[in-house]
Amino acid sequence: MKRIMCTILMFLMIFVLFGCQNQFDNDVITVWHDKEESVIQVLEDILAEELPDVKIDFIRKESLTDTLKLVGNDANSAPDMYIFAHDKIGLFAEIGILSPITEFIDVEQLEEYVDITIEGATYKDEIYQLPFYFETLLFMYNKDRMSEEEVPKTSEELYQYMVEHTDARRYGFVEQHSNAYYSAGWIHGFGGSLLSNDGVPLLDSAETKAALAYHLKFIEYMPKGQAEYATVNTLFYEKAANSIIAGPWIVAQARENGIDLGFARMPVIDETGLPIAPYAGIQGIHVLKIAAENDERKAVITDILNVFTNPQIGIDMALNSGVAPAHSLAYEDEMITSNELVMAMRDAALDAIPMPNIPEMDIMWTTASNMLVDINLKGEDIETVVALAQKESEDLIELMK
Amino acid sequence: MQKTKKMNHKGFSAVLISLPALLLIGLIIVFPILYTFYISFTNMNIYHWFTFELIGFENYRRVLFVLDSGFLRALWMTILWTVVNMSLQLVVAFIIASLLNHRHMKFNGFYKTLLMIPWAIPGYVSILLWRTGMFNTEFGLFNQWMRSLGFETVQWLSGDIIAFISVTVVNLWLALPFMIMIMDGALQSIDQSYYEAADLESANVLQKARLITVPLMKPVIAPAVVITIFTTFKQFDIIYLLIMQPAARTGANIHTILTYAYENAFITSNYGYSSAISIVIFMMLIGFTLGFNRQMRKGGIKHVEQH
Amino acid sequence: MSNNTRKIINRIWLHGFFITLSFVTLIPVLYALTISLSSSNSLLSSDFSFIPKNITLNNYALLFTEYPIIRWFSNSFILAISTLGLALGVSIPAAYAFSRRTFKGKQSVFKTLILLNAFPTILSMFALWRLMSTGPVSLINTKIGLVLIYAGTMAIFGIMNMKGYFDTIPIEIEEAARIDGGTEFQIVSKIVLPLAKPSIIVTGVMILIYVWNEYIFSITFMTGSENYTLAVGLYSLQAGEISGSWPLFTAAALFTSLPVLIIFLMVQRHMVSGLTVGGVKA
Repeated sequence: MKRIMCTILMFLMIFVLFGCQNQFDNDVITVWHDKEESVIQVLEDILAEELPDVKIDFIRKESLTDTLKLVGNDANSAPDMYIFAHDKIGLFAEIGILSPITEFIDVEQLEEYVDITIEGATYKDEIYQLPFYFETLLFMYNKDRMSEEEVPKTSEELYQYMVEHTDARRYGFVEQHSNAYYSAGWIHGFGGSLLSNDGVPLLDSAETKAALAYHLKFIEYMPKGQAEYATVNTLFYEKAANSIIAGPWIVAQARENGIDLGFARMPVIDETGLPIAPYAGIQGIHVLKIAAENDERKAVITDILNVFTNPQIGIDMALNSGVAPAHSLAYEDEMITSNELVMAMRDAALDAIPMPNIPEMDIMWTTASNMLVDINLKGEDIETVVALAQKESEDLIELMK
Repeated sequence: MQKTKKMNHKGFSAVLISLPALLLIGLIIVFPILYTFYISFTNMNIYHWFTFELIGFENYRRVLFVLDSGFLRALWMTILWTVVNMSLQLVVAFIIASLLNHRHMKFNGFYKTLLMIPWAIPGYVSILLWRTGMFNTEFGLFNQWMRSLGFETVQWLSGDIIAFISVTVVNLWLALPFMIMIMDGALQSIDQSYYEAADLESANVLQKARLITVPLMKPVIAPAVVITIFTTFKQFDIIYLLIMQPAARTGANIHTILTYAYENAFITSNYGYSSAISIVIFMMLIGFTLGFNRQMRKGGIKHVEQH
Repeated sequence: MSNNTRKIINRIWLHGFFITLSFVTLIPVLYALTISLSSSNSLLSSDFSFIPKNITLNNYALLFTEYPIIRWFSNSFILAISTLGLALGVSIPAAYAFSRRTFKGKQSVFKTLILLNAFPTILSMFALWRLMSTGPVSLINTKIGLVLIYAGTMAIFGIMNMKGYFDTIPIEIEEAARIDGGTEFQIVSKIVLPLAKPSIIVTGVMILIYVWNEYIFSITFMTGSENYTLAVGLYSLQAGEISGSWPLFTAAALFTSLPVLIIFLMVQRHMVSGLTVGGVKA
């Protein structure tokens, strides 16, 4: 009896599910993203105002990049556009699922954007992204613990500060030193780089090695044995660390904990005179090739993208979420100029370097992080580790072909 | 003596009623393996995503180059990992399940439910909690206790050995509920009359366990044990999230086969090559299993004679 | 020592052991509970105590007001029931067949099934996507597609697990019933299946937990917040460096785990074997 019931139930379920299938509505433009509601709201609002007749669906998709790889050019399951950071552009362009943004927007309109944003959006001389905003790392400090005179201008000053202010209970400065994203700043400060523009790993260059060697002495004054975000950020939130290099995402929590936040330009490396130049991530919208193939859709998408070139969205996003607009006209707005965080990021953009968007970069994140962990946390010899990491990167990049 | 005879009965044809299952399995399990096998002979990578072509054994040749010391170390680590975890799981689960089924044990349903809780929580949540909440060097729970007890804080995830132990502890925490449940079910399937007979012969606890319980449980728990062995061997999540994730490496290097394959093949997005490595790992595992099986048979299965 | 005293001492030991064990096991869970009840968004703090400073149920309330958690729950529920129906529906007959009948190549088929487990399922993602998207109707982003994947993944385990249990049910029972008359179907459903209840329930619980907590396939195959299962919704709330709130995340995690525990509690009494309760004495 039970078995019959089970079987019947099963078939019922199947029929019910068949009826509730999700069919793709052909009139709706779908946009995948992984951003927070506040960011998307800005886009929805401006579209409702400017193009009220257009049906557009912003869908939050977890593990967006992995799914896009699977989706490819399948009209049934692919979205029309997606909003994401710029660093996957190379990968998707090589796979062949992206459509250059210049098919929808005039190049002149892009001239009003902050330089690094267009730089990040360009791959092999084609521009694939319409930037909205960018993020980079900042030097932040707790104004109650570090006075303005004490803010280090050079790396040696930073080191001195750490020596004087670090004891068993407090750290002068903390950072996620063994994370490639954060370390890149120091490496750039020595004129080095993780990767050349044509995809050749530069881990064993003299500059990179110099950066790694120089940085070791700073690690002595940071928490032993680990440098992950939870520890580093919590130390700062609890006021056990006076200063930190971190992204804008910690600002809200820090202020909630009652910290009077100060922002400063990155210290300059004494030896080279270059500032610590971290990576920047540029967030914007991209169009999939499959969407551009249909003429009607192409027209709608063109309209939508033209609406998105309005500097107002940059302003709104910045005010809502503390990010830095990509459109340079946004910085003429009063509300923006009075926002300390946003202006600090705009200044940082002068020094920051966009993350490489070439496919080979995927490899470098892993190999560079492994290298950093071996040198910084395990204390292994720099020459050997770097040589190994370089070879590993070259081998893996070779394997990509 | 209980014997299970097999019968060739008329009635539902055996093949017919297993057909739906076999079909489903063929589709969901066998097809991907075959497809991966097919892709491993092509050059599908980001430069030829849609336009790949067959390139013969080229990918396999590359795999051989990668079978270097790092791979062997990962293999050895995987075997160690599987052996240690399985032994601990079997022994500990057996003890706990036996105690739960003890004559004098009341409320065992209540305890069982409590002990099942680790299993009910989604795995990656637990791993995150363990990693960031318990093992964290500065603020984690364990080190806070160490400090309040006056000990030095320990870097739980930083050295190879201690990291291995920490990850094993977390794995046990996650996997024991299942094992306990299986053992519990198996224990209950044993006819009590055997124990009564043993009591008449004044057998002690160890003898009863060795001569009655274990042999009778073996066939019932065998499938679950085999599946757990495979699962443990294939484990990726727990090791990767606790130790090896690039943004948060802790300094220990305990790559297992799968994490090694991930960092040395899958991140290249070269599907042809990754498929070849997957097939190789798959073959290895099958090879081990068959080899192990043969060893077991040679060793002989002792038949327990009951009187 | 008298028998009674021994009994009491044994009881004390046993209960003591289990209380300690349970407590130790539950420490991470209690930790999560504390976080979920606190109002500040921090997983770590230097002065952590198991009783949070400002207890608030706000995080749990947020789950219901800000997120379609009821929708997520019903999605998980539908998927779970359907997978259970399909998986058990195909595995039980197959397990029975493997246990009772001999047919050509049975051993090798069974062995192959076991060996198939050696292939890591995450690698199947691409192939399964291909499978689901070809054909007249694309099964991407449909519940049916997911149910097929889940049931297929669990089928082998189901067959293996239940076959082992069927093997321990003496064939004499069926023979006795056959003598009493009745069709094959009646014998199986009225006599054998009830005896196999513990195994069926265990397998069912296994399948339930798998489907309930599975997120990798769901995330990839399903798009859109209304289609999220609890597991995927939970994943989207994940707290990491850049975004997410730990209290909300832990609250959601605990909420997701609750139904499984309730099912487990309810199912406890059915897990006592039918054999030890008035079964057939060999």
